[in-house]
Amino acid sequence: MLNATLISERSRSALGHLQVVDASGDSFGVAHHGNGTGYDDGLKQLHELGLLEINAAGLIYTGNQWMLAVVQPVKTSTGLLGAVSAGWLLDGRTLSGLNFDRADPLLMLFDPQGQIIALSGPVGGGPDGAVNTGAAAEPKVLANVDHELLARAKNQQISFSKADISGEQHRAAYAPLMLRGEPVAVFGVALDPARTNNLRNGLLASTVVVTGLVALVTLAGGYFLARVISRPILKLKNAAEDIAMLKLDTRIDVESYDEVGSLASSFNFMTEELQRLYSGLTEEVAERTQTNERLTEEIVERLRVEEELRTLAVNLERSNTELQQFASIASHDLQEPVRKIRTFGDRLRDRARSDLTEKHQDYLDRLLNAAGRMQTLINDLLIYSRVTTKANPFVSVDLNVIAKEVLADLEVTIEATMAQVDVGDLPTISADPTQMGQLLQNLISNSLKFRKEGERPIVKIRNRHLNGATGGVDGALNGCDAMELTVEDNGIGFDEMYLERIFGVFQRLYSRNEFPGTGIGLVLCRKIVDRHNGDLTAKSTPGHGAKFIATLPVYHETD
Amino acid sequence: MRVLRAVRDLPLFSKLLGVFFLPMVLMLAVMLIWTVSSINRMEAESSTSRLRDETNVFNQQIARLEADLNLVAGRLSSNPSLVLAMENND
Repeated sequence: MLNATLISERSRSALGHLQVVDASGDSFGVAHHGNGTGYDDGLKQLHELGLLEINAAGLIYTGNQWMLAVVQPVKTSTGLLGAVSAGWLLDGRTLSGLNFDRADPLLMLFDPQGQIIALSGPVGGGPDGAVNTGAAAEPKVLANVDHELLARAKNQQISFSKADISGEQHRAAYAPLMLRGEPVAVFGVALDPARTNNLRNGLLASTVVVTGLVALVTLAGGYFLARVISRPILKLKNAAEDIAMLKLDTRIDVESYDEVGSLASSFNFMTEELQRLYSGLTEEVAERTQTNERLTEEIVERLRVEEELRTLAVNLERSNTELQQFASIASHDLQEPVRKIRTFGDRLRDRARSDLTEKHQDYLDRLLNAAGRMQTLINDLLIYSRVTTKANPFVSVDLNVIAKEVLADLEVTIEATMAQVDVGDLPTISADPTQMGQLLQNLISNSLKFRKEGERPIVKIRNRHLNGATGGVDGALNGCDAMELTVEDNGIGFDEMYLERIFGVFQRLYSRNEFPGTGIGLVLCRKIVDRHNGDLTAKSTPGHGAKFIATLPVYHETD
Repeated sequence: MRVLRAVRDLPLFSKLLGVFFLPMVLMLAVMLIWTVSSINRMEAESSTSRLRDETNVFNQQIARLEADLNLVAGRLSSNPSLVLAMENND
């Protein structure tokens, strides 16, 4: 009856094993699947351990199978009668219910000693004592099980680590298998790395490929942009070299409107300006070349003319010298015959005047007058020629002293004409004292001679210092320290249109009958002033006197 | 200095290419390293999570088996006919 009850209960609950034992651990009744000899041994051990009286649970090895079992004691008021044992055999059916028939993840079940009990995967075998629910031709072999992890798992902790399975590192977790609050085994889960590796490697490969593609696109874009930027600059460089080779018609195609395009436009503008300037410069150079050639011809011509002029000047100077020598000699030699004519004429007039008719006396007077004029003329010419031929060297001359001497020489004339000669303070200059005397004497005499009829002649001699004079012989006075000597009178004056005429040799504005003289006095004055590198001129208005202005340097370079 | 001089003497084209290309390559390299690191970290996180899930599922199934065992064992141990049979050693 007991066995029938057990069989009925086992079939009802689909358990793998049901057994009832008495208080001594001996089997009282059993209903199980397959060989049950191992169960009896297990329950006997429980009895010996005194565990039949408590609600025990654990893994029991039945000799060829592992069983997950609990023990429930049967008690009455009289005491312990025995115990009921119920268990699940860890066969293929049970393990399939625990998902041990899957290949991934790998499930493992260890006994408390760390020995593997069950292993997931296809049925077909496994390590000794292990149940393999699958049919794998080559079952996986567990190795290097971390016993520390198992110990921690038995202490109800989940541990994560790696498991070396068939030489591959699997990510794994270990956890206790708890029955009635006690750890009775260790459960392990290991993930097949191939799947995650494939996924990761796929992601990495995709990332690398995308990265490479982006890098290639960047390289291509960079190449394009760099070429877009650098090519116009390279064109500019080539164009600049062409410009340097004077290919001024070189231009750059403006391909953009950015800074480089603006630079190209500026370059083209610069080139156009350069071309225009160069063209103008070329024309100007050609024109100047022609001008230079013309100037060269002119210079050659001028040199030729200058040479001719120089020759002429030499000839002229020689001629002048000869002429002056001739004048000097002639004047000197002519004086003697003239003097004899006058001497014998005077004797004739004195001794034979009574023998001559009135007509002959007139002839004789004319002869003597002509001889006298000739002698005066010869004397003047002699003086004129001696200005250069018998000149004295320049010395320091006090013009006040010279003026006094001249006034003394002219004392008779001054008294005769009742003239008033006013001499200002005159300077001391570097000059020929004799010629300075001749100059003052001629100018004062000139003022006294050309006086107004019935009016007292007044002559003023003044001096003015000049800083930086101008004029003179060949501009000799330019920038020199000079003096301006003026001799001003209240005489009849002259028209300035005859200014140059009064300084001409033997030139006269009035007849000899009106104003006697040879007409050489002012010429002599100008020659003296010229010899001193000075300048002589005059200002006058007819009827209002005349003013002669002699500009003379204070010093000479030879001083 | 020698490197700087060499860089300075590079053609403008090469410099411009470097300006465009080098920063992008550097950025891509950093992103690649960061991506690989992230993938590895994500893989570890997802593996741990899955292992925990599998463990929980297993424990739930074990708890169900245990409940069945306790139910059957409890029912048998309190079965009067069974107790009577054991008392009578029948």
